[in-house]
Amino acid sequence: MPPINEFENDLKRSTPRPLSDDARAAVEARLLDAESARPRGEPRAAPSHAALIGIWASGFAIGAAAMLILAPWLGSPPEPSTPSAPIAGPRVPERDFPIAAATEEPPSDRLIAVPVAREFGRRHAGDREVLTVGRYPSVLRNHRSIPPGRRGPPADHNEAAPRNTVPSPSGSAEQMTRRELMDELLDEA
Amino acid sequence: MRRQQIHDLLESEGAALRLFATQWCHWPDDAVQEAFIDLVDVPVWPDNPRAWLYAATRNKAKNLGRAERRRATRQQRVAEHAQDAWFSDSHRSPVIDQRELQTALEQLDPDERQIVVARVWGEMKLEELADLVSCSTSAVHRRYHAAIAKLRRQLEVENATDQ
Repeated sequence: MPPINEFENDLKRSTPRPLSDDARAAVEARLLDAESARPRGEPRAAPSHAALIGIWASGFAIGAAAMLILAPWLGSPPEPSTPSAPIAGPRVPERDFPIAAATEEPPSDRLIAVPVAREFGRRHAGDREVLTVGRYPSVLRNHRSIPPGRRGPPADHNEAAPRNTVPSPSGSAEQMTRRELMDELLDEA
Repeated sequence: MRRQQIHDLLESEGAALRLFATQWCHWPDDAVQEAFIDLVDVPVWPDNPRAWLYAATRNKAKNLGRAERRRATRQQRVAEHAQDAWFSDSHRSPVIDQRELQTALEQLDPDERQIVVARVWGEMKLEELADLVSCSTSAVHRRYHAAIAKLRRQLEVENATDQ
């Protein structure tokens, strides 16, 4: 019996039938089609893990830098000096207020507390606002928010003439006080 | 580069792959052709394209064989493809008759046969065969030598019968 290596060599001398020409032609045609579809010939190799990690790290760095640059604009706005809208309530046009604020210095008896914007259903306990009256006294006089005892024309503290005056007996248009009139009559007597 | 490599594989491994595919189907050329076309379109080039081709050819041949069995009985296929010889007509082996060799190979266990064909005519290494049949290298070595011994006994018996 020949050794096994010799028997293997005898086996190898038996040549398998070659691949058919049709199969070769089909493979060649497919190769040509693939090359025409892939001009560069070589397929791109799959990215390695190191490359993927590098891509991820660079993306993270870019994002962090962008956040640092945009941080001043992305921060919360500064706190307003006035209360926010839900606390103070919506702004109401000035004409809707029953009493408008005056620029002049009002007398103390014209300072009243009026519930603000009662017409809009926003009555809050203790939510009153002190308004000065000086420019629209007629509005103040008739407004229903004013207690009845405090309604009426405000005192006119700006009168220049004294209240107790009588016409001058001489018929002049000059007004004099009662005390001045008595002094004048006594002097004549 | 890839085209040249595939072309070289087609020249060097075409016949052996055809013989390898003959174990499972009667249209081995189609199986080899489909395996090569799959290699052309493979997205990632395999580390060992030769071993990849053997595995792909085996799977293609098995699928073709199942389709053939669905179409006709074995006797009908033999009648249709009477000249479906495994080896070429050029007698380069004065020792072994090629028809006897084909008969002896057909009588081997399918796993043993694919190991013998891939080892003898495909010249695959034991490590590659281990990947191909999904077993250890030592198991491949053991099964290969057992198959070769069985093949020798079968051929000696046939030679003795002929004489």
